[in-house]
Amino acid sequence: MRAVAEGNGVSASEATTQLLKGVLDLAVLAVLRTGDAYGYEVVRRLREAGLGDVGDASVYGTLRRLYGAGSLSNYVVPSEEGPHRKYYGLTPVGRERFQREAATWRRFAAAMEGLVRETEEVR
Amino acid sequence: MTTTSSFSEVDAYLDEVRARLSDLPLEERAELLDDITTHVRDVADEHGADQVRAKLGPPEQFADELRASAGYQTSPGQVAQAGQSDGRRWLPGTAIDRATLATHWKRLEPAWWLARGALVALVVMAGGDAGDAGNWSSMGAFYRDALFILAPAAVVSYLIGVRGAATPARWRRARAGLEIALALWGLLFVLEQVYAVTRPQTQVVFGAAHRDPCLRDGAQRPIGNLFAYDPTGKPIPQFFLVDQAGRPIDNLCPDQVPTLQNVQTQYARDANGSPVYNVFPRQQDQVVGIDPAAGTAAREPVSPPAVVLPQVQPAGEPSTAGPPAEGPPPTSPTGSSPTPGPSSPPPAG
Repeated sequence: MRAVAEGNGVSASEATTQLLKGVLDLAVLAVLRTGDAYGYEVVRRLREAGLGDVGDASVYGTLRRLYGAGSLSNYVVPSEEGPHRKYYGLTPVGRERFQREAATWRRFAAAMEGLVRETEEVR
Repeated sequence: MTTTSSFSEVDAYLDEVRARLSDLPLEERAELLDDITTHVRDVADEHGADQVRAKLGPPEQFADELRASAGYQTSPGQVAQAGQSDGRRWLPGTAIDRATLATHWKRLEPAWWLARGALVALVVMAGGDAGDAGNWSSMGAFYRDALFILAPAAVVSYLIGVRGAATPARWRRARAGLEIALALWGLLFVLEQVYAVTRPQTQVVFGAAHRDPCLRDGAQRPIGNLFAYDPTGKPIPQFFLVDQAGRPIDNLCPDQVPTLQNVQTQYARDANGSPVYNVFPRQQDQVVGIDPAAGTAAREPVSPPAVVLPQVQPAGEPSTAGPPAEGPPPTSPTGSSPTPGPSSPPPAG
């Protein structure tokens, strides 16, 4: 992803955004599988993982949608200095969803990888 | 980073996002905003309040991204830009849906911005009364106001519209109400103008739209009755008046003459009993009290004017000096002639 994003300026960034749309659910579920987090944390961890083009707003929208679908639960942690933070975590439904989508992703990624490598070898 | 100015920057950003999401159910919107409020503050704390827009992008784009990723329907404004449709029909059996209306409204909006400015200026000038507006005393006054008041107001309003500052959510309803009231006032104003222009027998004169045009003298004084005298100064008891084309002259305005305010006019009648309006002098009666016997209003004829007539040469005869003649005032129907002048001898002939 990073390579794609840094490849060709605006169009590469746009391509990443398009790709992200399809996998953002899985990406957010994957982040939360390793531990509960609040929105900004999720954004940061996605960026650290190499998804530099992920939009802050998309992450919050995705959190909201996954929460609405019952994949996530949330709870508020009061903060002494800053504002209170709303943490999100996976529900059993969310874990199941992660497994399912991860499997789909692996099949898809393998197929794409094979396809791209094949055509590159032909050239 | 938690200075007042930085917080107002953050609040402004959040206000704009909130406004853009105003069509969402209240609870959904509150939840979304709760999350991002913390986020925007965190971004401001980390990078500086002035960096919020740079880091998060324009608030409209942020809101649209939030909405799309949360799986909500696109907003009307967003649809208008994208030219897409959410498919919901507003009028059954037509292709008019919310998106179509939004698109059309977006196209018309600049026209409304201009009209809005001119209307506000008109409201202020008329003190709020649509019937009073547009009552310019002359075309010059109209052009002057149009050039120096209405046009600048329209331009200012247009510029405000183009700048496109989002109205904070709590003012949106009030603003919509005001704009609707303004539009209705404008409609009333236009109807008033159309009525003034198309009213039968109404002479279209700026500033006189509410007055009935009627016979006036050169000093614009209303004429309430007409009297005629022959060259000897004798009043002509009854005569028809017509113009150069033979059309009856009948548009007098006794109701605009202060001294004739309460008179009742008796018109001459034809064989069928219908009034004939161009027969003069009209008999005008003034209420002077209550008739104790009949219990009805007592009326008295209005006296004809006392006039002094110059002597004129008889028509078609050579000019010969005759003795000066002063015409007597016409005798009133009751015969109570006021201050009669000396009777004049017959003209020389």
